[in-house]
Amino acid sequence: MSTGVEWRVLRHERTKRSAAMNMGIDEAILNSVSEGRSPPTLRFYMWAPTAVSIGYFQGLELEVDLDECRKRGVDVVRRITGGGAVYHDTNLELTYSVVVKESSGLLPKDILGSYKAVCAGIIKGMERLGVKAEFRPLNDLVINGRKISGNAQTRRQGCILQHGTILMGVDVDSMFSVLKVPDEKLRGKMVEGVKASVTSLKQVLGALPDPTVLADAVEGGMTSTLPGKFVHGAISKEEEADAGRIARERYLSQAWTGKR
Amino acid sequence: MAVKVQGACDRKVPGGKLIRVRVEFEIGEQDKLISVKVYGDFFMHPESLIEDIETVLLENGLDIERARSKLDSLFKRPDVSVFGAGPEDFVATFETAVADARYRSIKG
Repeated sequence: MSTGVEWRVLRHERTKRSAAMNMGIDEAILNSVSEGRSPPTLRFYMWAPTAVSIGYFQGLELEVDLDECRKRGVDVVRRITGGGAVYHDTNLELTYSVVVKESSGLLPKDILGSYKAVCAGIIKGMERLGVKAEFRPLNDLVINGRKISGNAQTRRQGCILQHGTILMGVDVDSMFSVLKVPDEKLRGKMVEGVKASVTSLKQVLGALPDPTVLADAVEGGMTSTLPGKFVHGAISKEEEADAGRIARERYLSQAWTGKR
Repeated sequence: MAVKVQGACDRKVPGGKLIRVRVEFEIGEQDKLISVKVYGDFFMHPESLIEDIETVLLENGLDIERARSKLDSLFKRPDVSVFGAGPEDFVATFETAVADARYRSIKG
């Protein structure tokens, strides 16, 4: 859909980032979009090293085995968005974020509607790969009832930030080596349950997709479902500096990560 | 002499999210709630609502009807939206965490 609005698309190809920097960049984009310094932005990114992010309202030590993360060199970060703990495998996940002003009209104002609108773009993108995914309220995408994408949203400074994962592959055993389960006695059962309820593009397509091909597809999906024109751009120097500062002051600080 | 006990409850809201409540109690001549922490994978806007919920439960938790009505009012605030759990889910999880603490105090 084309209107006068021009989106900026930031691609993941050049660098994978640390968890703190990835979250810092999303927040820096939110700041710059909010202040009118940057256009609405669709960003694709990946993580290095592998990381765990937890939702804003989650208890760090209830969710994450911190010793095991240290041993394995897995980053741990608390998001500014709600939702659950996510294992971001450095090779198996493509992450996106969308930042728009609430007043832009690019996304519905109501929360469920805006989740749906962004997810519709991802669904269209998956269609381009021959995969049929569906939206499962509030914040998941599923293929034949099995989760392939989790999404989370916050609204601040007059903006909507939604970020989410697309599972290219999934390694549930590694995931649960660093994630705790609510009841240790039932660990085996829970891990088996997750294996049955989660899927990945690799499982559906028979081979691990190239992240560039996936990002192309999702970008194409967003272009066909959201109003405006999508143009490849770069993160500004100002945003990069802001992201570094936010990463240091917030996402790398124990006060933030261990705040709950 | 007052004894400190902890209680916990994790509750998956049917069709919704997981709520996890941790309470600390001082059990003595007069029971006293010392801390209430609420965690979970739900979504709340504004995010500061979580602290308001904890404060309501901490200050009114021993009078559950009062806590319930205060939480109901919080959730009805026009600026508030919560997905994946309702006020009654927070109250129920909290009540079970309190019951868990009392049970542990009896069990010693």
